Amino acid sequence: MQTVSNSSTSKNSEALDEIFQEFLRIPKGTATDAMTMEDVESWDSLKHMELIVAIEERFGFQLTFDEIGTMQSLGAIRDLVNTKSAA
Amino acid sequence: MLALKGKVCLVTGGASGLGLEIIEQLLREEAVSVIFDIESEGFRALQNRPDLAVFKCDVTDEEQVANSIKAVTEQFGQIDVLVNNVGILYSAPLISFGGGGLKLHDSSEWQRVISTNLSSAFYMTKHAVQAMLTRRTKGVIVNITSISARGNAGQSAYSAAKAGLEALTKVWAKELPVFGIRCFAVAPGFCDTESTHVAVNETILQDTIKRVPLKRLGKTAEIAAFVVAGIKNDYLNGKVLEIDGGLVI
Repeated sequence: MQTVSNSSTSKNSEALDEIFQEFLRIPKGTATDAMTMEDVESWDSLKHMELIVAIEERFGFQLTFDEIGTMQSLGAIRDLVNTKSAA
Repeated sequence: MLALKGKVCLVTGGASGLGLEIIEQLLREEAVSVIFDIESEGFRALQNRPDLAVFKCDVTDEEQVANSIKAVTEQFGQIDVLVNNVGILYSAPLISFGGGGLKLHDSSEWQRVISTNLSSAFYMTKHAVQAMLTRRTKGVIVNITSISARGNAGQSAYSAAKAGLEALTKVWAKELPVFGIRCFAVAPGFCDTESTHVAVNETILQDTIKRVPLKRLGKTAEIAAFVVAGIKNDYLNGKVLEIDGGLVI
């Protein structure tokens, strides 16, 4: 089970890196969990909404307003996506 | 093309004039038609119609707007289309000289026109879009502006409010498509409505008709048909559609 979970997390991470690259212009392999809106120049409130829609479409789930409120860093987004994917 | 059958369509100021005509045409498309308006004789008459949902709501009051939108979503599940139609026509020069001497544009009238014609659309759209996002509805926002947005002499408040509404149309048309929501505006010219005859001096109105290439005022049915066609057209976004008989070319 652990192997499946790790594989799933890895796939999520790859997909998220692609989204971060496309929407936040963060070069692949340079995104860190600690990065917040303050660290990424192109990550403003409008881009944040595009990010939410892209994540929903890519992973096939719907985020609640409360969940969206927790998406304050790339790490928080990864954690949320992993939790939602596993549910 | 968007099929309107069963779609929840909300029209502000829908109890009379152009708003009511839009409602009637939406009903013919089998849309679930919802009116927000203030108390009036026409409003009371519509409350008895089984084919309509009529909500008493002063759209210049954001708290009433939020509560009424919530009531609509509770009753119908979602909002698919919002038509920001409510508006008052007010004409007054910035400065004039009459029998009583110098007269300045009344600032309370300025506030009333801006509040009714511009702020109301901001409040309505804000809360309607929130409802659309909650349910991931691919909605449509329509703003009823006016050719006066280009700046009509004697209409400081009205022209400013309508120009503001056109600016909001363009802002929302850029911001909201990421959620599948589009926005456009319809800008009528002079129409044969009670409010036109009340607000525009008859001599000026007759002069205006002479300047319209089609030599007549517009009919609310013609404007409403334009609005409904725009709602149904999925590729329409961010544009202000003028329908004025060719007055502005």
